Amino acid sequence: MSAYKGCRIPEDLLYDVEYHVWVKMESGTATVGATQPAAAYAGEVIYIKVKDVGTRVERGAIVATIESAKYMGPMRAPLGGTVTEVNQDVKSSPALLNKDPYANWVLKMAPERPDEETKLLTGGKEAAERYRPIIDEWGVECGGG
Amino acid sequence: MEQKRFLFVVSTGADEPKKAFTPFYYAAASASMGYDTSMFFLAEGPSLLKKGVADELRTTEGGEPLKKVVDMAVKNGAKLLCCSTSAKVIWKMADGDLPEGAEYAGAVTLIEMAADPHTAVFYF
Repeated sequence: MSAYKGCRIPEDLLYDVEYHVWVKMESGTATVGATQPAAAYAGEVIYIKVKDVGTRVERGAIVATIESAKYMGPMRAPLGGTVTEVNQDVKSSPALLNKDPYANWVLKMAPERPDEETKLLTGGKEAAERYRPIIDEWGVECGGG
Repeated sequence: MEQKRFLFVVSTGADEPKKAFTPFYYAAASASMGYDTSMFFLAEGPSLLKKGVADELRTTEGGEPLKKVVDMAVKNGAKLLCCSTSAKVIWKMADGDLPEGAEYAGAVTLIEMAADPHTAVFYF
């Protein structure tokens, strides 16, 4: 697995490096979470608001809002579709995103155009390369799992 | 359904650094939730937008500069409007003195925005 300054970018996931989210496609369902560098940049997450199950979003629309003591920002949908599940553990303990953002997914979606839109995502190897200058620019180091 | 909007009116200036961070943080929040968000700076407020001020202003010694929350609000999509009278008369700011993306506006603009029934107004 690729790691730079402690920040892991698992190779088996897809990424939107602009939105700082990862995607795992499994039998028509997209599991979505925050990348580890993004979680490190935010600092300890104290609150996450996720769109309700049943909400339909376009790719790039705000699907969650993340708040820490020093950060406030949107999580954007990497694929257009409908929210089918929200991780209640992350909702009640948002700092799980800092502990292990790949084990602690945020939401699941039923994508509407997966064939078309997953082509816009980046594979793990390339995402790891693209994250290096971002990690340097942000000055973050990742801890946790 | 018409979209809800948030308007943050900022009269707090660089002389009150502990209060200066708050409107940017809340504007960053509403913008990050997808709400149309504007900040309007008047009276002491434009002093926060003067060149170099946000780089130096900190709540606590060694803390993050104000620029961090300004950038966060702008990146999340908050629009910055600055009262041209306050800025030019009180703070002697010129046309090119505003941060990128910020614009000068007047009292009529603020009243029109605040009069919109879909807009919630916060005053800092």
